[in-house]
Amino acid sequence: MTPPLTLRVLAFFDARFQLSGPLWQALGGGDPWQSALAAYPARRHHSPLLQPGKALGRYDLADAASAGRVVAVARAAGIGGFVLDCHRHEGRYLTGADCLDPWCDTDFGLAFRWTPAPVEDAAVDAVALMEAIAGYSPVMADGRPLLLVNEPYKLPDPAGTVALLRQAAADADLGPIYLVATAAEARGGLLDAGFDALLDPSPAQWRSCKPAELLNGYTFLQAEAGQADAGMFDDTIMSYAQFVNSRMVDRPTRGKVFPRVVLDYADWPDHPQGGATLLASTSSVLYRRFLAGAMVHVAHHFPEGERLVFIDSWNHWRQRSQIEPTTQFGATVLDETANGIRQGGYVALTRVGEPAPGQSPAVDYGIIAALCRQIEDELSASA
Amino acid sequence: MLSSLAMTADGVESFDFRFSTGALTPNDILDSATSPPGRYVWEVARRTLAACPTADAVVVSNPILPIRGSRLAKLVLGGGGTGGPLPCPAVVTDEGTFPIAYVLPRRLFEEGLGRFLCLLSVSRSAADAQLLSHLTGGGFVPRRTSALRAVGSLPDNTPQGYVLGDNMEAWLVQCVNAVTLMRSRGDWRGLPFAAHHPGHAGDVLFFSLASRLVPADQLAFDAQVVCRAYLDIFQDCGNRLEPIVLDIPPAPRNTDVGDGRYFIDSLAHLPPGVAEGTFIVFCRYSKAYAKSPFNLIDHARFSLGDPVATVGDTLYQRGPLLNQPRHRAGPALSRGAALRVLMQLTGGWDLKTYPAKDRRVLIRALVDLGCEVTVIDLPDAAADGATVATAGSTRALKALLAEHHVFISVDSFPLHFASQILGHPTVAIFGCTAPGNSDAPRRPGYRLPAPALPCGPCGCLDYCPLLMIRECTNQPRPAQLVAAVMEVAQEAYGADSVLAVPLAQGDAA
Repeated sequence: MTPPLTLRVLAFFDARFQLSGPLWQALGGGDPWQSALAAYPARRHHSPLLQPGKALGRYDLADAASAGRVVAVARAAGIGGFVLDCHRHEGRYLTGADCLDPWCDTDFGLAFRWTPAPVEDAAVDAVALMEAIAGYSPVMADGRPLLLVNEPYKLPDPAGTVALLRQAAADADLGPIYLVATAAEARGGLLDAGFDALLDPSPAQWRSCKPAELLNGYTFLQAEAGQADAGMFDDTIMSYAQFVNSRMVDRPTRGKVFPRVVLDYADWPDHPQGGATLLASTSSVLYRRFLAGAMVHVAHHFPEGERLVFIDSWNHWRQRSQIEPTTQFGATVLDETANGIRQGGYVALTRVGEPAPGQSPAVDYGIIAALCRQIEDELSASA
Repeated sequence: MLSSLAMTADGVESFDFRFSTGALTPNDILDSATSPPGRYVWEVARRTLAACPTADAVVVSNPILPIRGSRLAKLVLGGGGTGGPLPCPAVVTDEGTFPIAYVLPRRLFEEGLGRFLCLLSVSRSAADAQLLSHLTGGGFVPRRTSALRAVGSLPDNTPQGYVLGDNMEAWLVQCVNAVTLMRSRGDWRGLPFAAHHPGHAGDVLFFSLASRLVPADQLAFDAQVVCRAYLDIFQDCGNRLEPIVLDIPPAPRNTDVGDGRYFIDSLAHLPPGVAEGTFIVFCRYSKAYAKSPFNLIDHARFSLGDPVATVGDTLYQRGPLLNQPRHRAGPALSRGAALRVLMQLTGGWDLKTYPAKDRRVLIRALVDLGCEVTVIDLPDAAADGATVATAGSTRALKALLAEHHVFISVDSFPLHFASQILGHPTVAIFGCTAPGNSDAPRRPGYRLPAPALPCGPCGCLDYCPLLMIRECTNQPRPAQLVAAVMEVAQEAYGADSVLAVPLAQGDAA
């Protein structure tokens, strides 16, 4: 990162690509690459999954050299850490962090994502979670280790869960932790519940309307009768350009929400009967600008020490969102990632010292906004 | 991707450079759209020789080709093609005649002739060999064939950002003209260099500012070809170069006549005697400038000879620009007096124009808040309570600015003139273009509600490629601009100035 900006780009990471060790055993053994990539398009609009390129190949994270190579490639691209999923297994959590941690330091750390699930004793579960994530080189936000809570809307008592997590973290000698919930905007009480910040949901978690609502009666009957590809109606297909624009439009009004930058997304392998979410007409150039724009936004609107951008993902091959080198496109996307990080870093640097918009005490922004709205209404009415 | 080989008595060392996307390390070179490829041959050679002081010669790859250092070494030193020791100077070609690299002796640079490399054609080895022949004492410069299969037809736009097509012809013409001049003039080493960058208004301003920022010992140019229509800008912006006035209209803003074609055609219209005594370098856009995050002033500085080698050297990291005041206020603003706001809401092409409905809201809101609004070149604005004015010259624009407290402008010459030359309190509107290419360094009295959408810069001139409408939706909302006007007024004229605007008494209150 270009000094003096303190801004870190993190990537979601699937640590299951290992051929031995506790996580591999807990997941039933076998070849994780085969599990991830053995899916074939059933619809004509499903793009096939890509294959790992020569640069990293089908690595085994349990092999220290392979894990080191992955971290080195990520570092070289400007990534500042990975976000690992916490997998629940027989009352404890496994993350696979032990494979990566030897290669981490203060410039490249590990953060964790936890997806809540119904458990008998939430306090015991929180203790197990903290045991699993303690002891690794952490990504820090505001000087605290970072924990992401996925699907927080499933929590029956968000404030209670936050309190439990904080207590368990303190008991595990993690100290105070920085809690981030996956949610689109700072409305809905998650910040009030004690979360420190929010994170854009994934494309599948954040859609403007359900696919079923796109159907009219005739198209539904057509699909059911086999006269049309039912997948076209069951799946949600979004234009990438419009998707990235929608993620960045009026961002400051959504509050303290970290951007999640997505290169591609297609979860059809996990929705064989329809209901997949797909991004269409993806573009590495737009992706680079999306990444750079997200960095500039964070640099401008977030306090120092809390400037994070998330890339989804480093190696979620099954969702086609990976930025790792591929057989088909080589290192193009990884290069664009590096370019985007450099570009975002430079542009953010050019705006250092720029006052945050809407902060001048001498200006009444509410009155200005109301006046403009009133004039817009008048013009609309007269048109 | 740029590469080179340092040739020493002990062996060869290869170097890889890249067109910078933001970082400026010793291996990142500022991505300048206004520099011909030959400028990169010069810069790569300079850096390579500096990094390897024992090198007697340097081999530099053709900048328009993506050649890695390792590949360059294989092509230049490996088997195949013409055998034998590597001659110096020489032009290395593919299996045909396309130049893929240049072998350059160190003494060429020690004699201060590096800038002549800006004149390379990068497409005709015969022309380039003749240029190098003159630069190295007039001896025969061989073309050394490599094992690379024929380069073949090149794309119009390369992944490195080069726009080829007409530009290839322009680079060839500048090279052939230079060789002709060297043949006819024994005193060619002392002849002036002119940057051919005749328009448009904003571009002339950027080049003028750049000419003032390049240190004297790095300034490789003595003159600039400029259209008469923009001569006032050239002069009022304090350009350090001598003007060579072109008495033909500027190129159209659409793509009907490419920059390369215009360059070639315009050479016939240069003032008498200029072509016979000046090396003219094509400095219009060789690359797509929006791919580079750097300010066009930095692009121009690089073109003119400044390496802009570190982030600290770039425009935004420098101190106050050109000793201009941190901001120069407009007329005095006493308590209770109306804030006078000047607007330029149309730009060089349609998509820059601030959308019709939004501008009506903007004008009305400011008028309702008690401001006096003047709009340049937009007759419709009178219906919303604005005064309409024209500013056909820098003098007229200056006079208008002197009468107004705050200026709001889209990405156009008036914006750059007010913010970069005069330091006037200004609010900048960017939508379909990248602010980083042409905004001003941050200072009090300057606001830029930056466009947030990744679709920009789209490169389109008259319609949105996403929504297929003739407006850009990446422009700031009227309320953002009104707020920015108030913030700027407060910074430039003090808190009282904002209180003077009867905010609390507006209709909405």
